[in-house]
Amino acid sequence: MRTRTILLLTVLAVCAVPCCADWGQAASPDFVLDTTVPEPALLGLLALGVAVKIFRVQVQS
Amino acid sequence: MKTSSMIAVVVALALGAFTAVAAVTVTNVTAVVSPEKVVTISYDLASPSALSNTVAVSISTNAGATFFSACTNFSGDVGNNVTAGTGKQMLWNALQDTLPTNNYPATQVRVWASDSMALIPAGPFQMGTNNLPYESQMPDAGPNHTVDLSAFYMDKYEVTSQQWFAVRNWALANGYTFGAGSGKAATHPVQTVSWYDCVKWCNARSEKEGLTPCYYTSADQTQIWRIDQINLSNDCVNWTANGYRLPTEAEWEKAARGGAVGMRFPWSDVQTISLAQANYYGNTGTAYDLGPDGNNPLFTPGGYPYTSPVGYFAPNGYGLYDMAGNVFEWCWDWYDETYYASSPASNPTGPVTGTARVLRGGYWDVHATYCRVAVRLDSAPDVTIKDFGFRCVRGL
Repeated sequence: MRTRTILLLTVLAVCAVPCCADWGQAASPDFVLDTTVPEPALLGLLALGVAVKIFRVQVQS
Repeated sequence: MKTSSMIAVVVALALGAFTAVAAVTVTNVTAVVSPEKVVTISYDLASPSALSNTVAVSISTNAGATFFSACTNFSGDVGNNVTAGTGKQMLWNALQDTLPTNNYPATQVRVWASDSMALIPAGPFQMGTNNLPYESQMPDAGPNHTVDLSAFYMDKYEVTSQQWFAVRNWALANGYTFGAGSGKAATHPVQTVSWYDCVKWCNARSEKEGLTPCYYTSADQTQIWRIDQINLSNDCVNWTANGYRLPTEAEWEKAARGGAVGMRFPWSDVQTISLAQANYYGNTGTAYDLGPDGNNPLFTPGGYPYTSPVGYFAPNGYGLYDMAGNVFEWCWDWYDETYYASSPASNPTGPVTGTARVLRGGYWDVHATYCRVAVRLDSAPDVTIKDFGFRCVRGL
């Protein structure tokens, strides 16, 4: 009886072995992914703003 | 046997189970986004295989609650044949992948690595063969046709006896029923396994590893298939689950071809075969068989079966071993000799019904004709003979 119990416990222990997964894995911490591409109009406004800024600097100097 | 001896044997087996599986580990994953929206992903990879690991990436846009694998624009230390080491690096060109929206404040990347599965890339291949005069033994292998497949992972090796019993023992303790299966040694392929048991084993392997099983007892896919013998239909399969499954016949053939075109065997350099390339029964009476005649003498000691340790011979172009010979490999599909004439051009999963399932690849006691990549064999799914084994695939 004692032997059977030991064997049973051992077999159960084997069956309870944590998953020996074939794949290792790990994840990164959170990061921000912003794939927004500026619209042409926004790019145009940006370019205009830069041009105005340059013009003002030249006028002031 | 004395009590102490029995205990010693069992404990030794238990320790063996612990030590036999060396783990692949991924650590220190980081991601940095450049102004050009290119994400540099760094990680460390430790693996028993120094040279031949497969690395994949999945993405989460909800702080790790769920991950998906639809992104494909990666380069660098990703895909097949990645070496182990620290400071591995890949680039993800996020702009090239179509994401539902543009701004994700809590993105994560998960790096996966395996030394036992190979990535089979998406894309078309030529399946089957138009019968050549001296290859007329396979009228069911035509017509040659183009098949487009999604990418998938395939076991580099046939499932070994050791793998079979490790998963089977776990499964028996978790509600599964199986036939026995057998193998000449721990590193030899399992054999005498039915199609039913192989499919249930795939589910058990998935559950054991915490993955979503692919096979269910009915089309509503509510009950995982764990017991009895059921003739599953194609709609009993969750084809997008991340668990293990048998390859479809098309997946098997594409994988076996290893990226080569128009070749007879899994290798790309010659149209011949010899016992130095695969474990089969040599017969130099066949034009392309260089023999020598008979079984491979390297594997006859110890008696039947004359299987070889998995991975004994050189791999094919995708890094897969024993795609010719050793054991025939069960595929998912029902067998229909006329299937190629009407099969879907994209991701075919086989006929709707049938009486036999497909096997591929030849085995240790069969002539080279059956080891050709286009040859189709079929058997009733409950047959368990020394010829039959299998390997698994996973979706991305």
